[in-house]
Amino acid sequence: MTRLSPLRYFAAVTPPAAPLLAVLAFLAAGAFALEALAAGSSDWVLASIALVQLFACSSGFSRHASRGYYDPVLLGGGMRTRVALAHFAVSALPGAVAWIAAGAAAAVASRSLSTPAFRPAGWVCLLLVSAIPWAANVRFAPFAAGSLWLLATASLFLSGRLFRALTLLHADPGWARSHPWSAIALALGFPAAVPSFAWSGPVLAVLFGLALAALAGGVATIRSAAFPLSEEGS
Amino acid sequence: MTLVVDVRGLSTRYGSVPVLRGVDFGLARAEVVGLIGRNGSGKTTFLRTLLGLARFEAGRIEWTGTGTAVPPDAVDHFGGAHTLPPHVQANIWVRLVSRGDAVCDDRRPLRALSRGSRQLLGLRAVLARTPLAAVLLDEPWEGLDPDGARWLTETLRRRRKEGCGFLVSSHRLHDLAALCDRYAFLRDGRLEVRSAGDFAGRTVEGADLLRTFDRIDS
Repeated sequence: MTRLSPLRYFAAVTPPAAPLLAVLAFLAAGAFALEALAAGSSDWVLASIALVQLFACSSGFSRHASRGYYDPVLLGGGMRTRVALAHFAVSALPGAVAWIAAGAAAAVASRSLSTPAFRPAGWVCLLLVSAIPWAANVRFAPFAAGSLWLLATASLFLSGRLFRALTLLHADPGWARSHPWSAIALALGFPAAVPSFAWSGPVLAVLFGLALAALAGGVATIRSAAFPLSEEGS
Repeated sequence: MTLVVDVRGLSTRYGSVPVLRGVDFGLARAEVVGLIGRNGSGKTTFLRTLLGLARFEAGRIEWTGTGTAVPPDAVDHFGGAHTLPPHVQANIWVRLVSRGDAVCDDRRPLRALSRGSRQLLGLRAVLARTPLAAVLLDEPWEGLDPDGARWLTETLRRRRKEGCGFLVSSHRLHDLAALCDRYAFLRDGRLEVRSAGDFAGRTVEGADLLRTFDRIDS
């Protein structure tokens, strides 16, 4: 008997929105075009992919689950961890593919694998913008977490705090090491900037841990939550 | 009688309202049990609790095959047309849910189909699977035209002969009466199970079931 693969199920039932896929494809293609013109000119593409990924991963779970759309994979409840991870993977995969494509474009142009996308800071950034919005959005409508995060980033920009911190980081590569908590706050406030700057190992480790903790929290929520039908009890 | 699922003292609540109070129940292979109750009596909650889709606070559910409250893969469920994701293409849904045991040529998204067509498609996808040890159906005749209703009744009979057990919640008592081996009446969170033999010597019709239910209900 063939078991129902949660990965296959979510890819068919809740694929990322077509406009998001189109934007990610455009950005990946743009990275190749820019790198062909001038090596190292596609750094902003990574920041754009990170911003799109905030929304792609704010896919939401409870809303569809409480309508019964996920019944075939939730049935039984014994493999909820697999279900949760498959849901995350389907949400994050298009952005991750675009990220790798953009990184590959830069690597080909510079003839080196040490490009912003493929450095530890790049991978940490990708995990941050994938895991945190996905986990934060498990119980909410699609795009809620991404919108909130973007709103928070915009507010920090408008207040001038983010710009000041970015200036300090730009001027002094050792700033992240001497001000680790400020650096962590900066990275969380504006994760799209993470691949473009120098971060100390401990700061990256904390950010990595935060992203993993968020992912684990999202999985735990799906594992433990009941999803009564929205019309149940009537 | 080989039990597919054995339930002892199952209790659950919806918010602060008790829905099931110490329910005992067993579903055997090759039988159809009709689940009867008024709107809001907890039929859907009972089905979803058995399947692990809703939590329970007390009692025990044991599925044969896993020995736990987690049903084996040969157990399936259809909760009605409203539980089908509207944007998925019909052919993809059928292939996915039937695990490739059924095919559908319709490439339209499910939302483009009428409610009755979605109901029939959802049932076809689930009931085509082989092997099936048990299927729990929530209002399966809802929205079906006479041909669809006949197909469903015949399919349930055929799959029962093949050894599949069914727990079927429905308000369509005449359809249940034509099919069921036992009836489970759910009222105030209590489940009272009667054999179809209780109606022996009479032509069992929906009205008989309704009278029985009213007697229990009073």
